[in-house]
Amino acid sequence: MSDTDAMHPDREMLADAPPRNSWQQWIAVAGLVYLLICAVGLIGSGFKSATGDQAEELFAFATNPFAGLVVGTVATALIQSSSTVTSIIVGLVAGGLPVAVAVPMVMGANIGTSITNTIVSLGHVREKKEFARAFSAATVHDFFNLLSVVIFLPLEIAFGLLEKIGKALAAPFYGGADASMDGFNFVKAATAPVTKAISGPILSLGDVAGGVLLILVGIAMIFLAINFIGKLLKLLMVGRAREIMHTAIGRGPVAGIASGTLVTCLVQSSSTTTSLMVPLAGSGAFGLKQIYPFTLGANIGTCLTALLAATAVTGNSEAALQIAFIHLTYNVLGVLVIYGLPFLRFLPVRAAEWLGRTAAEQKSIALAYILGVFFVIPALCLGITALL
Amino acid sequence: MSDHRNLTREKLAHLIGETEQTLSELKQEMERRDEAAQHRELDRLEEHLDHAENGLRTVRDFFRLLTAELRKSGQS
Repeated sequence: MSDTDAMHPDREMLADAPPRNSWQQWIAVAGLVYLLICAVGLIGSGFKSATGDQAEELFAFATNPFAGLVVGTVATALIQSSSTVTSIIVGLVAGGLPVAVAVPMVMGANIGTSITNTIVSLGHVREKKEFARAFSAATVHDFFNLLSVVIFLPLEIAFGLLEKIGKALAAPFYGGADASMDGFNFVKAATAPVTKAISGPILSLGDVAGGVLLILVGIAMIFLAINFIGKLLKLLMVGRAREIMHTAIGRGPVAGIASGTLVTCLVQSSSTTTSLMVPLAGSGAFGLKQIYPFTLGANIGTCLTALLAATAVTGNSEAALQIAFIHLTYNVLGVLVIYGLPFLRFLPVRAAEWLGRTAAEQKSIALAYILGVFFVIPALCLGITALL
Repeated sequence: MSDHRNLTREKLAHLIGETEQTLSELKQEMERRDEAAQHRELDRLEEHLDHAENGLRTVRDFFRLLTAELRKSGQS
C-alpha cells in the first residue's frame, strides 16, 4: 500500500466500494442519454421549422470558415463543454445547417473546450514550479488543437477532405442519398413519442416562434443532460477510470492515448479527463510527455457523445451522422498526423513548456493568454470576417 | 581517469560491463520510483476531481493573487 493509502485507509475503502444505489444511478444515466438524444432531435426539428429552406441563407455569415471556427470556439469556451456544442451542431445539421458550415464549428469546439483545464491550472498559481508544470499540462491541449486546425482547416477549405471522409463513413448506414435509416433505427422509434409530445404543442405557436423556442428547449435539455450525465458518471466510473490509468503507467504513448480515450468515453467529458491531468502534472509525478498522449486520447473519446446524438435525429439524418463522423475523423487524423510525424509530435509540448515557464514568471501572461486565445483573437477574427 | 591507462584490456572490458550493468539497474530503480510516485498520485484521483470542479473559486483566487502581485510591483 502506498504512503497515501496508509494515511487515509477509510477514504481509499470508500473510493473502491461500489457507490450506493449504483443501479439507480445507471438507470438515471440511461434516462439522461435518452433525454440527450431526444433534445438533439428537437433542435433539428426546431431549426428546420424556424428556417424553412432558408438555413443556408441564415448561416451565410458563417460560410466564411473562420467565422464558423470562432463561433465554435467562443460558444464552447463559454459553455465549457464540447460535447454540448457538438451535439447542438449535430441537431442543427439535421435541421438543415450545411455540413460545410458546421465543420469549422466542430474544429472550434475542440479549441474552446481546452479552456476548462487551463482554468483548473490557475489553481496551482501559488507555487512557481508547480504552476509552470500545471499550466504546460493544460496548454499542451490548446497547442495541439490549434496545430490541428492549422493543418486541417486549409485542407478542408481546399479539398473538403473531412466532409468527404465523413460522407463516406455515414453513407453505408443510409445506403444512398434518398434511402432512410428509419427501417432499422429503433433508437429513433423509441425517441419519437417524446420528441413529438414536446414539439407538437411548441410548434403550434408558429413555424418561426415555435421553431426558435424548440431550439432553446433542446439546448437547455442537452445542457442539463450532459451536465448530469457527467456528474453521475464521475461518481460511477471514477474507480474504473483510475484502474485504466494505473494500467497505462509505464506502457508507452499508445497505451496513454488508448487510456485517455477510454476514460473520456466512461466519464463523457474531455474537459474532465484533461483537467485531471493538470494536478497529476503539477505535482511533478507525471512529465508533460506522459500527460500529452492521454490528452490526445481525450479528444477522441469525446466524439462518442455526438455520434450517440446523431443516431436518432429526424430530418437530414445522414448529414447529422456525417458531421458526427467528421468530428471523430478530425480528432483521429489529428492524433495520427501530429503525433505520428516526428517533426510535429513535440511542437505542442515545446510551446506549452515555454508558455508554462513564462507564465510562472509573469502571472499576467497566463491571463492575457486565456483572454487572447479564447475570446479576444476570436472576436477580432469575427470582426474582420464581418468587414470582408 | 589516469588509473585507467594502466588497466589491462580485459580489466577495462570487465569494468565497462559492470558499469553498464549498474547504470541499467540504476535506471530501472529510477523508473520504478517514478512509476510508484505516479501510482500514488493516481490514488488521489477523487481529490483531484473535486479540485477540478472549483473553477470559479480558482479564477477568483488567481485574480486576487495577480492584483496583489501587480500592486506590489507598482509600489516597488
